[in-house]
Amino acid sequence: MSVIIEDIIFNYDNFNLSVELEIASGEFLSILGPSGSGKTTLLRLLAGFQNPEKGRILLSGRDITNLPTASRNIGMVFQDYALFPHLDVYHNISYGLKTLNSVNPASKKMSRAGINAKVTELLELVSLSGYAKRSIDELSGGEKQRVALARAIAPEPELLLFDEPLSALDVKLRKSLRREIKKIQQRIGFTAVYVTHDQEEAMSISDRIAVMNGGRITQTGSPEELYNEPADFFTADFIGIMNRLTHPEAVMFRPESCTVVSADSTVADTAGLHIEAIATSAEYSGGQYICEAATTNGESVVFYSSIKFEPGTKLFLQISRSEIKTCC
Amino acid sequence: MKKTISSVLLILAVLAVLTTVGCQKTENGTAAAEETAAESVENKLIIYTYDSFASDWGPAGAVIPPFEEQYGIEVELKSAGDSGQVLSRVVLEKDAPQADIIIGIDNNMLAKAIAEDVLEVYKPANISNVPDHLIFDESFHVTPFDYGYFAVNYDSQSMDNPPASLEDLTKPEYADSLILMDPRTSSPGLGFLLWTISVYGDDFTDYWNRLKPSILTITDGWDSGYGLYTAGEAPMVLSYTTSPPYHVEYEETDRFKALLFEEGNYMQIEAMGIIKGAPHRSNAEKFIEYMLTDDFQEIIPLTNFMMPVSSKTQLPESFNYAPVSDTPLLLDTADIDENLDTWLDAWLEAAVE
Amino acid sequence: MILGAFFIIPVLSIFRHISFTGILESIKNDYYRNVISFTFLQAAVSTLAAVALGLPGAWIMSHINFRGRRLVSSITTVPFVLPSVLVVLGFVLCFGNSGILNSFIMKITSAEKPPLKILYSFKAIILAHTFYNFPIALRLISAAWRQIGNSRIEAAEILGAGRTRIFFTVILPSLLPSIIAAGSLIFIFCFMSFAVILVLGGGPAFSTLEVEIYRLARISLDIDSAASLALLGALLTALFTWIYIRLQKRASASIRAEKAHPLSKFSKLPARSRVFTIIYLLIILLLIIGPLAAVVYRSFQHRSGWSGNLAFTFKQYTDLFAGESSTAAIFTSVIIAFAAVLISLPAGFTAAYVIVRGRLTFSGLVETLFMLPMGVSAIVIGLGYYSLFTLLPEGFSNKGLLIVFAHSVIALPFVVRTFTTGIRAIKGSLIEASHTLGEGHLGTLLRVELPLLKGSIISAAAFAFCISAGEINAVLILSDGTTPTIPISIYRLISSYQFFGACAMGTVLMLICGIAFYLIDHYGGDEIF
Repeated sequence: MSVIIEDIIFNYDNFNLSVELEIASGEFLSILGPSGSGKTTLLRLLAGFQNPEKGRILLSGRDITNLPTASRNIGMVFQDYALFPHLDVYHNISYGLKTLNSVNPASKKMSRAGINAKVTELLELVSLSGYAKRSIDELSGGEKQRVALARAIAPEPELLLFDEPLSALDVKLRKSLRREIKKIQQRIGFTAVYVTHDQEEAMSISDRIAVMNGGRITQTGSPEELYNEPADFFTADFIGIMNRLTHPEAVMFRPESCTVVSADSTVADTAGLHIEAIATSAEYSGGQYICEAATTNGESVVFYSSIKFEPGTKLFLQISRSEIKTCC
Repeated sequence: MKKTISSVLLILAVLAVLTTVGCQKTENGTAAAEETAAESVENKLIIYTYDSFASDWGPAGAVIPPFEEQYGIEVELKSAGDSGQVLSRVVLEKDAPQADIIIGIDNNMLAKAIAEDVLEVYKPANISNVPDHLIFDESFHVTPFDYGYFAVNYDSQSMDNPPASLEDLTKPEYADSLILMDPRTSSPGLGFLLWTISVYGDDFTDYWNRLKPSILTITDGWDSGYGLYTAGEAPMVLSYTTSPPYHVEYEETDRFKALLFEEGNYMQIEAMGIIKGAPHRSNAEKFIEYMLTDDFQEIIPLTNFMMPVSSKTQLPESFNYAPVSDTPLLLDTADIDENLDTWLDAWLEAAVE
Repeated sequence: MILGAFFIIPVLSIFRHISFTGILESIKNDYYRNVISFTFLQAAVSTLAAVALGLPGAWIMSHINFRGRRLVSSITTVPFVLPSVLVVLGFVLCFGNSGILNSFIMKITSAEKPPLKILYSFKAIILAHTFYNFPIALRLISAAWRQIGNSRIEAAEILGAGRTRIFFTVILPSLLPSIIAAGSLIFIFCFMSFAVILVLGGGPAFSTLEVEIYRLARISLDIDSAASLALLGALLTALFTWIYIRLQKRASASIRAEKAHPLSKFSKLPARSRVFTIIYLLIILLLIIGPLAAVVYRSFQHRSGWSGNLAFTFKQYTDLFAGESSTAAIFTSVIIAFAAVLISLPAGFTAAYVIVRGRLTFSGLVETLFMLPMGVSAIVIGLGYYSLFTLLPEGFSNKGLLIVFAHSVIALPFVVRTFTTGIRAIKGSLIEASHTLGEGHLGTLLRVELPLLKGSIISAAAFAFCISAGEINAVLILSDGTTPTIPISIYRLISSYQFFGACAMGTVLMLICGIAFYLIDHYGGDEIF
């Protein structure tokens, strides 16, 4: 159930994608990147909706590069749910259990009783027991996505693809549902590729994150690795906030590495870098403020503070030298 | 869901079977006919005619079977729309003629047909049955089989002072009360245009300008025009002197009457001819001869609602309601051929203004 | 294939007569230019009117469940099958100077002259074209409207948009592809119309291109010029079609339909909507059912007594069914129409599927090509059919099959149009979802696409049935007059003065179409209608 993406190249208009990636069996990998970075295209190449011009895609050692989608034994959860509107919950979930397609490796003749049992089990898994006979338009967004998840895992695919599945839901639902997805993945143990542009979502759900930009994967690693040792400023800034200053010296640091100190302490401490700045804004985010200040030569610094600084307040900022990032 | 699909499939299957059976039926019928035809090619006759001639209510059903019996000739009657379309078909098939006889060339179309060179000359032996003034083609490319006069018909229930002449029609009292047909799309329409030309000569456009207020509408064909008239939409319509006999014969009413005009009434003479290169030439000649006999001629009045050309034929009683004009009008066919397009353009200009 | 054999060959064989100087001359000719611009104008106005009348109807049909809903939907499609002679007759009986409407007003106001001069004017043409064509708008638009989920409207409401704004910003854009599809069909229909225009317009002041083609082909026997003019007309309609297709593509690129919303019960509607629905249905009743009812009414009449007054009778029907030929004509019509549905639906679906999904380089062009059978003058195609005979293998004489194929081709533009709109409305992710669940193309087609296209299938079947059942030119020419269908019987009755009998036959035709629609709706499920 491992996935190996061998130097695939895909060109579309002015965009070109070139990717090399390995995903271990049972791993939950997120592809994180801004829109236009090629993350969805990569997912569509894995799904077989598009075919690469060069390179190979191996699923459990099987070359699926040019195999039709239906024969790949993969599952997918869509951003717009893509539930079949003419079928009820039961028939949506059982859709993949009785395909007419004999080339499909997962295609097996299941008995009616077997299907019933499977659907019941899946409904229970996604906490929708008793929903079998409901029609799709009676469901809320969250319920729809649970049905979509149950439908995708029903044929027991070797690889499950998620295309920004939670982006249409509200924040609260998004958080609870992603926990649930993670739980189900751990329980069943499928390999997952999860596309998102939400770094918080990626960090909370993934074993490993691949950051994409401009059609290339810029870095892969665990959420902690990416946060603490970003390979470049793009990754650094995409995963959390990263301040970058050129004056008095070229440095990069996270907001939490920066504290406000009194004017006189700046002289004493040599382990820190000291900067003078004027507060420009402060946003309350529950428990603390996210503050922004402008340095003397106009560069912007973001930091956290328990006190609200009115715009125009003169501040002395201290950045601990040990936390200054050295990359790029 | 499943039930719906299977019942739809069932219905489709039944229909498919029905269709094949239905098609087979027609196929077998014609196939059988063709078989006998192949055995005796010389005993066949292929006739092209306009649709209403071939219909259940037209003359064909009453005249073709007796002919087949009498001469032992098998007739294949093919119809295709109106007489204009039939002539077009013959013209298109000029290089490889498929039929022997064309029925339905009238005095207005003759020149075109002769110009296209699709007709053979044949003078039937019993042409003496036909009075001279009806023989509009002295070259005998075609032989007339029936005729009638174009006439303004009126509904006597809604009009008590019918016009007596073309000129009368332009009177203000007849405002919006006449239905005509477009000469570009209908034979009576063309007949009426030629009528006005034969009466007014080059001044016919003036006449049309004066006539315009009296016209309620100009229809595409006789059928909608006459339909509107009998529905009571207008008290007058352009039709034939032989229209009232229908209402007398089948509806037992004389409320619909045809008018003879002082200037005379324009004639329509319908004829048939042998197609150049006819595969069964001698059978075609037999049919033309037969056409002039009483057997054929006496069928015409009550099926085609036209006058038979043979002067010997007895008319049914209802034809007492079809007035006969003392001053029949007829333009020279060569004249028509030469000027028709100019006339139509001039008419159009007058009508559109 | 079918399109090739039954449309392209006849057309090409006639178009070999054309000359480009002929086309140039017709463009240079002032009169023709006027005719072309009038043809265009009346088609454009008629299209707008038909769509405008169809929109409220589409709302009703896609939102409200009321008694007789199916009946209304069936009746609105019936005008489509009637031969133009009977349409004109029905119209005049209803709205004419001595028609029902005027007689009624004259009776209550004791006026001497007919007070309403509706007919024999430009507005009469528009009225008749609306009557004829608004069912196209009604069917296509309501099918699309049904697919606009409530969620999208609710979302707009939450965002504080007013009703008018919701209509213009949410609903109208979603309906646009179907409006454009309906509009293009109606436009071409009106572009080719001539009998209705001539009679109800009041004469040659309102001439369309088709009348001129008719004159050239029939009276002047100038087939070359007729073909040139017909080609000009075909090129113009092709151009319009192409523009429409471009517009529709742009419109549907942004909008994808979702799940159909449930219908509301009439009794649960707000009072305003109820009044609106009733008023609209009354207008439809007057406009659509009026002329149809007039034809039906006339079929129960005959002239009695020497005065020739009208009296009630069943005579027309007993006469009609006394002979075998009428029953045979009915049987033939029904068989041919169902067979045309059976052929044109799969053919049209395949074509539409390839156009939408096939990633063709010139898919717009292909789509335009499929619309062409509508845009070529009937009389020119008619003449072209003669060349079909010469191409047939010796001894081939299955006239029924020839007619079925011809009708399928004539119905194709409607079928293809209905399906392309329907297929475009299916979200791409549904197809992709099916593939990821292990289902191949065929399985996806059977289990997802076809069930979702139920509405389109019903509409396409109804259109194909109507077009075939009402068609006359192809039958006249291809059958050599040996296979009378109902419309041919109607023409034959009329040419032997039997107008009442023709109305009876017309009533039979309407009844058969009504039954056919009911069956199609019933067995097709009631997703849309």
